[in-house]
Amino acid sequence: MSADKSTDASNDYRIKPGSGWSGAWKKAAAVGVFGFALAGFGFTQDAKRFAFSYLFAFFFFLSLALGALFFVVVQHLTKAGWSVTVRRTAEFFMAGLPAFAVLIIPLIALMAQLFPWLAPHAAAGHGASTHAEIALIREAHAADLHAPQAADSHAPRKAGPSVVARVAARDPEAALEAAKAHEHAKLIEGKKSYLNKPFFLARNAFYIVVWAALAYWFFKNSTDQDRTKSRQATVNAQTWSPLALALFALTLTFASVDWLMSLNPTWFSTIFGVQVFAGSVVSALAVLILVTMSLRDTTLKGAINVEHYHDIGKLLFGFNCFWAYISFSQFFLIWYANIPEELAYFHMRWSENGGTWQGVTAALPILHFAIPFWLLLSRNVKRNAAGLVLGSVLLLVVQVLEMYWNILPNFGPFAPHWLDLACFLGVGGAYLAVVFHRMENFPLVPVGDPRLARALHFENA
Amino acid sequence: MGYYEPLQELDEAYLVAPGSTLAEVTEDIASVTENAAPRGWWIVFMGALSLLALFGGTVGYLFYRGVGVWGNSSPTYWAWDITNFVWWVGIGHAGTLISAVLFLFRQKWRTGINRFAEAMTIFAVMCALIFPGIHVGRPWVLQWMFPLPNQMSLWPNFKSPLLWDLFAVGTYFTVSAMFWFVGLIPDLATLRDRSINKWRQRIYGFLALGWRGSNRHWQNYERTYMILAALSTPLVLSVHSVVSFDFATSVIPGWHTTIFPPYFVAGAVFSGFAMVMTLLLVSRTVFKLHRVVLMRHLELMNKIMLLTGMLVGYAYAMEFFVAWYSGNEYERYVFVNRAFGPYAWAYWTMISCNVLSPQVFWFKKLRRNIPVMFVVSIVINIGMWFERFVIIVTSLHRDFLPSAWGMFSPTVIDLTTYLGTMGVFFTLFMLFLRWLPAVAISEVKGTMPQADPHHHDLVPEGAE
Repeated sequence: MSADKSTDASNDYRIKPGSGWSGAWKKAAAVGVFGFALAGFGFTQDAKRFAFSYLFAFFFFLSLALGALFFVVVQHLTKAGWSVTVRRTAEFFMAGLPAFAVLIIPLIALMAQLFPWLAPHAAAGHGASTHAEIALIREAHAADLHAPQAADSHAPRKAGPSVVARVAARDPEAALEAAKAHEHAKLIEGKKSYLNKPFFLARNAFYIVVWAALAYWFFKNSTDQDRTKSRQATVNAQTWSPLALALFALTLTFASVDWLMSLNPTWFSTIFGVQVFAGSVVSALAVLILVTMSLRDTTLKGAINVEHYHDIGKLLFGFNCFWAYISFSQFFLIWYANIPEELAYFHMRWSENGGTWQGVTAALPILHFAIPFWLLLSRNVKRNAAGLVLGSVLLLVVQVLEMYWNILPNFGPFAPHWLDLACFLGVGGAYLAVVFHRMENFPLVPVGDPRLARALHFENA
Repeated sequence: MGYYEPLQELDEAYLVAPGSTLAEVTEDIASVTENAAPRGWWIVFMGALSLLALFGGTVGYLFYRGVGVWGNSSPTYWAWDITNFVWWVGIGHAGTLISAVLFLFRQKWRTGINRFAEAMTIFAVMCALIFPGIHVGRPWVLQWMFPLPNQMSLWPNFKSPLLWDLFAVGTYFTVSAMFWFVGLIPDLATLRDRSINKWRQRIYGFLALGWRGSNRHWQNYERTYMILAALSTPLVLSVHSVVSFDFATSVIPGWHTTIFPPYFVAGAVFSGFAMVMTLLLVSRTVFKLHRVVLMRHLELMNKIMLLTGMLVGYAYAMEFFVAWYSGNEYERYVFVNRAFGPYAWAYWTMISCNVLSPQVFWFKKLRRNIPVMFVVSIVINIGMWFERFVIIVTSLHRDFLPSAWGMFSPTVIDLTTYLGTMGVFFTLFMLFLRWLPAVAISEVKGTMPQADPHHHDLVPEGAE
């Protein structure tokens, strides 16, 4: 059949030497080295800020790589034919996952800077007092609260107040603070069987091993197929995709609990893992569009066309709506019930920290949902290179912003620091160097996939 | 071989029995409404009618005596009534998921089952709406469920999720019914054209809206279908999210948790698919629809049940984990009470039915075994009923004040009300099977090899 010949034999879908992309990994590595050098200097100046800035950069790129893993696994799970030409680019971004085994080291070393649950006494309130003292103040304060209920209740207070009670009476706010801190410490104490260093490290070792193994296996299976053209390779990928998806869901959820939720160890939300997941897929789809777009007229010429972009655009639109749905559910249910311990998350990003985060908090629903929703709703925009690139850039930038907003309020007021940028360049450069290196050494399209011709001829109905 | 041909090594195949002609497909589906009903249909229909009579009697008694005839009592003021409401709305989810979401994802296998599922959706939502209707106790003032100001110009509380529910379920019902009807038009025209009886011809002709199958008709039809699919997709998520708000906006431990909206949606799709499976297996056997509903369709549905069952399992696990992780003693108590308290039997029924039973679908042999999938589909629906029962009753029966604790026990009227709505559902569904094309004839034809523009390159002229 003439149809099969259109798998253009002259195009091997490899990056040509001398093109803009050749040697890109060296540039990324250089940026990474530069970023790490700056960040290293920053670490000597402010270790705590470094830890938070680094976590922000680390988790953003990690979520991007995990989003790419999800894309690859879901294509196999649904046995999708249209996306074969697109899949390899996602596989490159997935293949960068093992890099995080190294990139995680500074975070492990600086855990104590990040997590209040590692130092319960520090959390218990500004080094003020021992548990016994706090308990006394609390008791005194409780007595103080109950006393004024009856009109003639002044007598017992005058009769014999302890020193602590007198302190409490003189400065009820300090006493309340101390009582709160005590409650806080007690709560964290109760979570020790989950939030403790050995178990935390063991969990993270598990996540890293699972991610690296999945990335390695799916990447190798696909790139080997370029040579062997084996149909069995496709069957194998499809067979293992359900298990991969289950492992992905488990590890992503608990990694989010560990690295993001436990930054504020008394806060909790059951939907949190799903929320991080939705964002990670949005980042991955936006990157997929931007990277393939930049190669559209050279290496990927003819392999990814407007029909594919339309479909990835639909997925980007859909997952962004999903992100909005999940984020709204989390916000709305917490706002409606108005329970202090749950509200802490939004309180920290609105009234606390001097209200400095209000601007970002208010911008997120607009930049992450309202604008991209109306922009990407249109079929014409999704089929127009400039429009789709605009939407993808916007969503990628707000994803970075959202990750920043998720992590940095735990550090303090909204005050961008050069260390944020330095860590972003360092982690991003290192991760992308791995990704781009893979890109230079393998075809950008899975040339051995039996459904390649179908993907090349794909038309959006 | 062309690139458009199914790759057998990848387990790809056409979605209609090999060698079928277009005429055979029309005949198989249309004849269900034209020939005398088989005995199997009468058996189910008579059973459904008996339950419908039970429903009439129960509701009459309920209106006569008041809602006190149910087991609802302090502190469990919500029990079977809302459990049944949520269960039925949940079942009504598969229809729109199959017809809208799977359509947007180009899952062509949905064509074999979407008509069943959509019909089932509409009937299930009708059954669901019965419960708020009869629960108010005074059905002659039903209009107060709507946002109307009373004589003092006092409006109902717009911040109440119960009011949102009315809009959410009402919108869902309207759009689903529209979607169903639009999809039916070309097939109603087919029935009209095959009619040999004047009244049949007139009624189907009236409903077919003058469909002639012209190019312009098809173009408008395809566009309308796409737009309705896009409009229905957010509704799949919104309805059960709003239903979950009925619980999650409160401050009751076990009800108030942020994962409720997506968790309810996943559970709804899960139970909806299970109900479609139950109905499909029976109808396929009774009306011999083996040409258009293949093992492939059933296997794919089983995979979706496995996926949604695992999603529900994820939500159960997260709820349990976070209840512990929160450190909140009330949260912790509710979950310990669910698993080990007086309703532990209901909780473990739920876990076994919803999380454990679909795990059999990991195995291809069991996924393709009809008795196994029939039993599992029923077990899942039992489990999903218990899920709502567990959420509602265990959270209410022991809340913050131990002095107010109590147990709930249903009355016979609770049971007959529930069974009665089954009568409503099955009566409507059996009538649908006999009077409307139970499978989307025109859509199924679109998935056949004959519909491929390259088909004639492969098959010599006149070989069909």
